[in-house]
Formats: sequence, C-alpha cells, structure tokens
Amino acid sequence: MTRFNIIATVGTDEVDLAPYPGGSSTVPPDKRRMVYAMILSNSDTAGNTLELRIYSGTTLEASIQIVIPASSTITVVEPEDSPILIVPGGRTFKAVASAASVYVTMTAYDK
Amino acid sequence: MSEAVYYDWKAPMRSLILKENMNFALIFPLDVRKNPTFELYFFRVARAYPLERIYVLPSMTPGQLLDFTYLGETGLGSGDDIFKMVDEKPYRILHFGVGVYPNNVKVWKQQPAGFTATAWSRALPTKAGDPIDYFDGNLSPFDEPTRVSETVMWYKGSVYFAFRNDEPIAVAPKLHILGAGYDTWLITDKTLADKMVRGVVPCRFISVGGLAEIQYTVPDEWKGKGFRYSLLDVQNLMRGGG
Repeated sequence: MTRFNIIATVGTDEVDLAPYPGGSSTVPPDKRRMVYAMILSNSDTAGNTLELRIYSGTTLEASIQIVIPASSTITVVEPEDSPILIVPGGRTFKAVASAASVYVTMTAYDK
Repeated sequence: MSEAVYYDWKAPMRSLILKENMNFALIFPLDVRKNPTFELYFFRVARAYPLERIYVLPSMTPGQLLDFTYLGETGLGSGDDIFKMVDEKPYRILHFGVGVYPNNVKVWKQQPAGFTATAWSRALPTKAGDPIDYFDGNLSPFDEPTRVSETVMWYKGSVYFAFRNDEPIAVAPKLHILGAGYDTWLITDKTLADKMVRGVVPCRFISVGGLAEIQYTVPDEWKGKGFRYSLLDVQNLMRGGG
C-alpha cells in the first residue's frame, strides 16, 4: 500500500485532485481511494467555500462543501483505516472554490 | 530445507541460499511434449559469497510498461548486463531473488532472454503485461525478496525483465537483488547424481524454464556432463526432492 499526497491550488475553476506525482484523478476501477488526512488553507481575507466533487464520467455523483473562514487553515487527520473520504473505483475526484485560493493537501492511498 | 519452505512461494530468499558443500542441480527441459526429457547439471558449492545490490529503474508513470530488456550497468538495457560473468569463471553461478519497491510494481521475467518458450504445442504467455505470470512487491517485498522471484544465472545464461507501474503515482521502482554467488564443482559422477535424484543424497533442484521447451546455452565446460532424466524422475523431484 503506497500512501501519496494530493496537492492542489483550488480557485473558481474546477481542478483535478490527483495523486502526486504523476497520478490520475480517476481512481482505478478495482480500487477505492482512501483519503485520511487533509489540510485546507484559505489565503483569502474573506471566507471561502471549497467544494469536493466526485464524478462518474461526466456525471456529478456527489459533492460536499467545506466552509473555510478567512485567512485560516483546517486540518483533519484520522487513522489510516478510518478515512475521512472514500472515492469509489472508476470515479474522478475534483474540487472548486468560491474564490481564489484554497490550498489543498491530502494524504491518501488506493485499496 | 523443509518441505514447507520448498513449496512456499513467499519463503525468504535468505533461507534458500546454499552453503559450502551443499549440492544443487539445474533442470533444463529438453522435450515436454512427446517424450518428456530433462537435462540436469549437478553442482556442489565450493565457495559462496554474498550477492546484494540495489538497482534503481527509471521513473515510471502510472500504468507505464517497460518491455523486456536486461538490467544494465548504466541503465535499463544500457551498458554491460549486471549479471554478466566472465569466461574464465564457467563454474560460477549466481542464485538470487528480486525484491520490489513499491509493492504494486509488477515484474515479468524471461529466461533465457529473447526466446518464446513453448509447451504442449503452444507458446507460453510469458510476455510483458501477461496477467498471471509475474511477481510484484506483495509477493517479493523489497526488504525480504522471496522464492517467487528466485533466479539463477550462469556463464552463457541470460535473463530479461519487464516492468509495469500499477501504483497510483509516478515512481522510480527499486529492485533489491539478494542472494549469493557460488563457485562450484560440476558433479560428473552419474551414480552420485542418481542418488540425488532419488533423494538419497541431499540436493536442491532448481528448474530453469519450468515445464516448457526453451533454448538455452551452457558453457562449453559443462557440455556432455549433464544427465538426462525422464518426466517420472522430475515429477519425483517436484514432489519434494531436495
């Protein structure tokens, strides 16, 4: 099991959340992507909303919105076997924010 | 060696390394179809010396396949083969396993290199990307290479490897080559060889190519000094000889 980071700067344009380095934001069909830690930092002096999106092909299947106060950082770390977020196989993981810029760092593995 | 270790694919390579004065035999298949026959060369380890090396592969993107080639001193398929042996050492044999990092890098092995093995009138599927005929870091971990990756090399022998990155990220895979080099005496006494085949005298049997017809080359110094055995004899060995 190889752990990896997902690193992205998210603004008002949707971006892929892909394993770093060189990975794909689409999870292999026989795996699930287990995200067990994330650091979300909002550099804006106003509040910001980060929306995490899970697509099946071009269809938006699920999304969650995380409100991040102005100039603040949210850190969530859970044990590896209790992931915060599970992206199912074959799905694509993306994000968009209501304003620039949210700095996203996640730690995950495929299982 | 216990039977459990003999049959365990994940037995640590460290437990399979031979010591001085131990016997081993290389089994080369001559015919596996009409009249199954195998040529065996028997050796006694005169001196064993450690063989350990870390080999770093080029960076591979997820899903990338690197086709069969040799492990070169200056890179994959470049420079001298790291297993190349000099001709004044015709009785030197390398015996090693290959640990893989990270776990989800698959390794295919082609030995001897450059030939398509055949069995029961069809080509065997040993090719880069074949879905069954591989090992990876789960079967042969980097820190503790296992029997599933067991390989022998001899002067005139050849081995190619192919790789696929099934990790979700780009990686530069590493191989841990761990085993021993043996300076050997070639055993030419047929009576002694027969005793080894019957299990009277301990001997470790290592098949090269399995139940497939392969084209192989041995040093001139070995020629005419191997012994032929039937499928029945080899079956006995497979049941627990050694």
